[in-house]
Formats: sequence, structure tokens, C-alpha cells
Amino acid sequence: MSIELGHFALILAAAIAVAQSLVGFVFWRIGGRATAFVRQAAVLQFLLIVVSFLALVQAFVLSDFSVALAYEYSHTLQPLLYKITSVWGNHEGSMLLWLLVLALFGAAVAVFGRNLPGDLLALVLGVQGALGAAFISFTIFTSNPFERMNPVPFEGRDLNPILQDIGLAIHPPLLYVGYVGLSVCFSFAIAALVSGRVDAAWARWVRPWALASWTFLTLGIAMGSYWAYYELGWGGWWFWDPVENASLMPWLAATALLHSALVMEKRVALKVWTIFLAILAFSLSLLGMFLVRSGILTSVHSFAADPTRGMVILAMLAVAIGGAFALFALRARTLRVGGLFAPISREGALILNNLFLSTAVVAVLVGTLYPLILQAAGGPMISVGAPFFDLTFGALMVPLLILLPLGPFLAWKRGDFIAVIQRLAGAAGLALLLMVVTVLLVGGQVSLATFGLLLGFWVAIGAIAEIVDRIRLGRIPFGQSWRRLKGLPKTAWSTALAHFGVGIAVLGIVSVSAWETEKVVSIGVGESVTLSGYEVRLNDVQQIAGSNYVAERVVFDVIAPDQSVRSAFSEKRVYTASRQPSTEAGILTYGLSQFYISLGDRDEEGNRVVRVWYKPYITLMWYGAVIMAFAGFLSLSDRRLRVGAPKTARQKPKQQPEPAE
Amino acid sequence: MTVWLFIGGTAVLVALALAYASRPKKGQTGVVLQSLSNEDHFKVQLAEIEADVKSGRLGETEAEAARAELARELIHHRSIAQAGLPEPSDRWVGPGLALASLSTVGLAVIVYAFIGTPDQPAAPMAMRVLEEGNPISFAQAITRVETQLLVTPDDIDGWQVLAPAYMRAQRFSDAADAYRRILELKPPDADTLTDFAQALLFDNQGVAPLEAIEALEQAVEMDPTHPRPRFFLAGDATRQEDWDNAITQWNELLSLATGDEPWLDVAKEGLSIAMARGELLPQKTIPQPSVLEDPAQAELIRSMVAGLAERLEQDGGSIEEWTRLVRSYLVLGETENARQAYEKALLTNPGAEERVELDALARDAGFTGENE
Repeated sequence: MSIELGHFALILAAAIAVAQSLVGFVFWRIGGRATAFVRQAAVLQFLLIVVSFLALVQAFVLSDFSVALAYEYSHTLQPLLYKITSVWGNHEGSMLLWLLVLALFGAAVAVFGRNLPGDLLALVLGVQGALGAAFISFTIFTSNPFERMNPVPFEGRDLNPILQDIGLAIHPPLLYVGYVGLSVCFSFAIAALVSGRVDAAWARWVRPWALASWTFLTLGIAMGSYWAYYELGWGGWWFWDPVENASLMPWLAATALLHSALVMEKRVALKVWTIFLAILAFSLSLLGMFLVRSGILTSVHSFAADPTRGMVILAMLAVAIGGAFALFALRARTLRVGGLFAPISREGALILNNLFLSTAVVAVLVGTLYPLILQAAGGPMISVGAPFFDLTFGALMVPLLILLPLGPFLAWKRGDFIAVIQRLAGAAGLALLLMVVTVLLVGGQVSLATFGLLLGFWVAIGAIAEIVDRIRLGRIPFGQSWRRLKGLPKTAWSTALAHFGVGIAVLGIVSVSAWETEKVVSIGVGESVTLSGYEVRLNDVQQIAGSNYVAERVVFDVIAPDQSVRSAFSEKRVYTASRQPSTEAGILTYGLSQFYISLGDRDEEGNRVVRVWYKPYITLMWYGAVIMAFAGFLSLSDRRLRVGAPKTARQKPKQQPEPAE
Repeated sequence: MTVWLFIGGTAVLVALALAYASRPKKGQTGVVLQSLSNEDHFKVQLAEIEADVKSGRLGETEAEAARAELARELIHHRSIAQAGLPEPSDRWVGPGLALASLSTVGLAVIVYAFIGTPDQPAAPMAMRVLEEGNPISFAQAITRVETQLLVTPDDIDGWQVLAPAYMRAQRFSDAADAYRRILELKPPDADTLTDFAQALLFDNQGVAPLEAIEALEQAVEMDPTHPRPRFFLAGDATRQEDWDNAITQWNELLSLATGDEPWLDVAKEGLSIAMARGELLPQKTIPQPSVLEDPAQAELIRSMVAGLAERLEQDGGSIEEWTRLVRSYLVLGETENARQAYEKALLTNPGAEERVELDALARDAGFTGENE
């Protein structure tokens, strides 16, 4: 019965979303009662989807195979955790999770938006309601998770083995929070265009949502990258897979949005551009949804190969994106242009940041869609591979990273480039020194990697330098510096931390790309292989039985250069219900580096083909992402409103103005 | 029905919640005032500037410039707010919201009525396993153990549950495989060897294949005082008309008897048949000793037939199943039961063209006609 109640709750949520959007659009000028109605509707919509989601989770946990979805994607022998994660390991269930997050954000806007003007809130929730209505209906009518089976099958068909992993428990929910959080920015943008009111207050309301989405997207992408790294067994961490790109593009757009919203909040400039980015970011996340769910791609991520669904999503995409941009084209002109600023200023630096980021979005977009469009037009099947992305994306990121540390040093409205360079000279020197030391230690030659290292150190140290500069360390007595340090607002810390995280991630990416070593050997029990000073001995082959799979587990002893011995386990599993194989790589972490052992087939002599990698400093890239996400949370926790004090024209540069906020 | 109660309850609650939220309240502000409330934002910003000046983060000149900018923004903001649109009429709000509340839940109930399946109960695993007593759930239990064993093929307890279950389900070949697996997993004992042989025997329509004979002989060797393997060996020797061997085996078996075994009569009869036939060699008109002479088998068959009969009477069944039931009763010699089963089969399967085989069987048994 709970299943049917869950089904009804979902349908009711759709109906409420329709009402919410109609009332929002028709009565937004009234505010008052109408606003109270849409707020209540948003909260109810969320509660109903929670009921619906819990009903589905219950069906999976209890192995209720009268629910077709539970039959298709779960199994009685799964551990409890994977019974739960199987709920969103498929198209229909993940749609429901998506809706849950959408409704959660709608409800959050309704609850936390008490201070928003009633008319703006009504409009925002109206747009959220329209999105909800469209996507809940899509779920109910083309991908209903509550479809029933009669007669009830006795045993389920189990989830794809590579999805039975803790990574799946975390990665999609994180990403969905990120993707769907952007819908709030989208709704705010539409509301701004409809009402014609865009000001600093608007930016202030939008920024937390953009920030939250960005933070979760960062975590979700990093998690996904790590999952692909350890679960797919190729030792790679980014494949320029269209679906990965689909998550990267909204992230880039959200990063740009974050920065431009900053300008708008503090300086009332870049209004039109910020609104454009808000629409773009969510459009890109919808595009990702289309790529994954339409079946035009074949990848780990592609759920459904149902052309109807693809067409429906495409239609919704066209309406949402097309409508939003049409509205944008109509109304953008009526928005007042905000504050003026000189090219060399904090605003200018942020524009440059936006320019590079949005160009990168276009580069990735072209690389992702071009093969698909070419194929759809009857052209040959081509694959735009890593070289294209490495070149174009890299070429765009390099100047961005070079300029990154300069931005926070520039004053608002008009900055002094030479003075900034002077203040950063120390950081640049230190970065250069670290680079030289590292290269000497590794014993490498001067190559692109050296330059990459320099870049990473430059960004990371530049971020620290900003804090050092703000507290005037060394220029005023230490006690005063200490007081300044304690008095620094959280936003200053979060800016520096996020930029520091970027630098750390760059260092990880560069070192693993440049100095990774790899060997493929065929060894038997008792034999060993040596790589980068690590000796790997194949110690034992065991047959083990998991709860719903049987596996051949190969035990390796890894002897590190310091003679410490640790065991690594690589497995080849066969899941009993689906008869599908999967591999588990053995990974050992040494400090910041990792040793990675992947298992191949047996050769004729009964030896195992073993592929080993040594990945120096690879974990830095994920730590970098975690630092960035932490910075996001830190910034979210700062509720203070700040003004970007302009630098007045009459002042002489020599007077050393206070570093502006 | 309870489903509809819950659905109705949810719908009413939701409609009430929407109506309650949108009830008219005193002191609600129109749009112009709302826009002006935006000025709070400027006040907060101003306070921030002052706080920054106080903490020394902002110089006085910068603060001056920031205040001036803020003031310009505020003036602009006010000019928009005052020149704003006329207060819109809210005459339609009340009815509109009421209509929205009601039509929302109405729409949901109608859509659900079309696409929902309110009558289908939930069927969680635990409930499906609990449905005991009917052959389907028995088969499901077997499937469950089978699945488990796919994962843990070395689980001897699992095989020991599964093997007799296969026997009960008349899946003799699977039973033989299961016993074979048990024998691989633990050292053989006389009982398991005999069970294994019995499964092979049943799978082969009562004719023991070589593998079964070997298993029985091994069982005798391991436990010479165990009657069951000897019973099967004697029976098979009798079936094969190997009278000398049969006489020896029956005698050996009888020597183990203490006087109250259920197989005692059969063994004595077997011995007497073997002795009689052995003396009368080479007489050819020997009746095949039916499997019924084996009391263990007969008991097994009776229980299977009883199970089949019970299921067919409860749930009905296909014409093939009824035919099998009637034939089983006939083989067991329970003619009256066979007749009753036939009559029930006629009631549940009135279509004569489907019962060709059953009718032929019944005619041979001599109880057609009167029921037609």
C-alpha cells in the first residue's frame, strides 16, 4: 500500500507544481496571499516527493518485486546499502532523486526566502513550480518508478556490478544537488527578467545558491573522478567522456557565475551577464541530463535507450532554454547598466576570469556535441578525444591560472597593475624556487611538466600571499598582523582557500601526468615485479564469496622502498544474479602517492596478467577539490553582507589604499 | 479500499494546507511596500561599511566613496519603486487560490485513478517467503536456496537442505546432482550414498544405473549393518532377474532385521519371489516388481500424490496435472481415489477436446461412461 501511496504522492506533487507555477505567474504582482500559497505549495511538493521517494526506497529494501523497478535493478542478496543505492542506480529512480533535490531546493527557497520581496519570491517559486511540473510529469508519464508487476517475480535481476559501490551511494546525490541547485539561480534569473528588477540585493540572494551548487558540483565531480579511477580499473581519472564533460560544463559556468555574482553583489555591475550565466549554467545541466538519459550516448552513465524519453527531454530543453533566452533577449535591454569600472580593476579581472571560463565551456561543448551532431547528420562516426580537449581546454586554463593570483590583489573600480605585480613578486619567486627544487629532486628535465608545476605553485602560493598581504605580515608589528588575521572575514579565507585548492589540484594533475610509471607483466604465484622502487609480489590467489558475487581475489604484497610491506587485494568478481563480471583494483596509498594494481586475464601458462601503476602525488588533485569545496562551505557559512568599496579617482596610488574587500 | 482512504486523506490534508496558507491575512502589504522593504538591504550594507571602518579594514576615504555609491543606488531604487506600476487588483486572488487548491487534488486523484494500481498489494520478500503450504512457495524456497548456493557453492548445509527438497519436488536429476555435490564436499557416508543412489534410481524410472549400484555397494561396504542400501540392491537384483544375487541380498537384509521394520514384509515377499522364480528358471512370465514394492518409494510417491491432489483441489490445475493425478492413483492401486479425481477433473475441465489422454486413461480403468 505504501507503494501506491508513494505513487499518488508523486502525482499530487506534480499537480501542486502546476498550481504553484500558475499561481506564481498569474498573481505574482499581488504578493501576500499568493506568495503564501506558492510557498506552502513548494513545501508540500517537497514533503510529497519525500513520501514518494521513501516508498520506493522501502520497496527496494524489502525486495518488493511487485515494483518493476525493484525487480529490474535489485536483488534479495544485495547488502542493505546497495539495496538503497540501487534506487538511483537506474533511470527512473534517479529521476525521482533528481526531483527530490529539485523539490528540496524549492522548499528551501520558500522557507529561507522569508526576507525576499513577496513578488520576487512568488515569481521564483513560480518558475521552480514550472520546472517541477515538467519534470515530475516527465517522470510519471515516461519513466514511472512505481510501475507494478503482476505476477510478482521471485527474484530480482540485480544492479550492474560496477554500480554496486560506495561511490554510487555518494556521487549522484552530490552531483544532483549541484545540478539542481543551479535551477534556483535559473529561477531567480527568470524572475529578474520578468519583474525587471535586478539589483545588488538580487545578486545577494542568488549567490548562496550558486555557491552551494558549485560546492556540491565540485565534490560530485571529484567523487565521480575518484570512482572512475578505482572502479573502472584503467587507472585513469578523467576520460573526457561526454557525460563527464556534461558535468564539467555546468561547473565551469557555475564558477563563472559565482565570480560575476560577486561583482554584481558588491559593485552592482555585470547584471546582464550574471543573468545570462545563471540561465546558461542551468541550461548546461539540463543538456547533461539530455545526454545521459536520451540514449544517444553509450557509457557507464547512460541509463535509458528510449527514444521517446529523449524526444520529451529535448522538447523540455528547447522550451526551458529557448524560452529563457528569448526572455533574456527581450528584457535584457531594459535592465539598468550598473557601476562603471576601469579595465584594470577587480571587476576587470573577474570579467577576464569569466571570459576564459565561458570560452572553456564553449570548447568543451563543441568537443562533446560535434561528434554527436555529425553522426546525427549522417556523417562518419568520429571521436573527439583527449588530445583535442587537452589542447583547447589546457590553452584556456593556462592564462586563467597565470592571472588568477592577481585578481584578489586588484582594487575595485580601478586597480594598479604594477603595484600588484610588485606585491606578488615574492610569491612568484617562491613558486619558481619550489619548482626548481622539485624538478631537481625528481631528476626530470625541463619540459611542459615543469611549467605546469610552476603554475600550480604560483596559484597555491599566490593564494597564501593574498592572506599574508591582507594582514600586512612583516610590514606592521606582528601583534597587529595577528589581530588582522583573526579579524579576516570568512569570505577572505574562502577565496584564498578555494584558489589554494585550485593550485593543489593542478600540482596533482601535473605530477601524475608527467611522472606516472606503468608496467604490464604476466606473473605467477610467488613471482614479483618491480616498479619505481616498489616490489610487488603475487602472494596468493583465493576464491571468495561475497554476499551476491563470487570473486577470485589475488593477494599482492607490496614492498615499498623503505622495506615496509603491505598487502593489496585485486579482485575479479562475477555477480551471480546478472552473471556480469567486474574488477576491483588494489590501491595502496603512500603519503600523497598511490600504487595501483589491476588484474588482467590468465595467460596460457596460468600466470596472471597484472598491470601496475605508480601514481606520484595523484591524491593532490582530489584533495585540491575537497579544499575548494570546503572553501565553498566556509563562504556559505558567512552570512555577512559586504560592500566592495571603490577606490576613489582623486587618490594617488602611492598612498597605499587599504586592500578592498 | 484502505489505499483509497489514505489517498483521500492525503488529498484532503493537502487541500486544507494550501487553503490555510493562502487565507486572507490582515496587514498584508502590496507590491510597492514590498519593493520598499528592499531598502533593508541598503541599511545592512551601510552598517557593514561602518563596521569595516570601525575594525580598520576600510579607510575613511574608501568608506566615503562607498557611502556615496550606496546613496546613489538607494535614490535610484526609490525612484523606480515610486514610479512603479499601479497596485494590481486582487479581486480574483481569493477565488483563484481556492480553485487552485481544489483542482490540484482533484487532478491528482483523477490521474491516479487512471494510472495507479490501488488494488495490487505490496509483495515484499519476507511476505512472499512466508506464503507456505502451497507448492509455489515451496518452489520459491528452492529458488532461494539455489540462488544462495550459486554464491556460496561450498555451503554444505545449503546442499543438504536442497537435495531432499528436490526429491520432494520430483526433480530427481537435480537431487542427484545435489547429493553428488554433498559427496564432494564431505567424506561419504552410507546414508548420503544411499540417498544419492535413490535419486539416480528415481531419475531413471526405477532402473538403477551403474553409478547408483556403485554408490550402494560402497555404502554397504562402509556400513554393512545399514539396511537401506541392501534393500535397494536386493530390489534391483530382483528387477534384473539376477535371482541368486537377489536371494543373497534379501537374506542379508533379513538378517539385519529385528522384527518391527516397516520393510520386513516386502523383504520376505521379495525373498520368496526370488526363491520361487530362481527355482522355476527359465520361466519367462515374470511380473516386473514395481517400484511399489519398495516401501520407501511407495511412501514417497503417496506423499507426492497427496500433495498434488491437495493443490489441484484447492487451486485447480491443468488437464495434464489432473491426468497425472489419476494415473498415479491407478498405479498405486487406489481406484476409488482415481475415480474421484477423474470426476473432479471433469468438473474443472469441461472441454472434452483437451482431455483426450485423460479420458483414454479413465476408459481403460473402466470408469468412463457414467459421468459423461
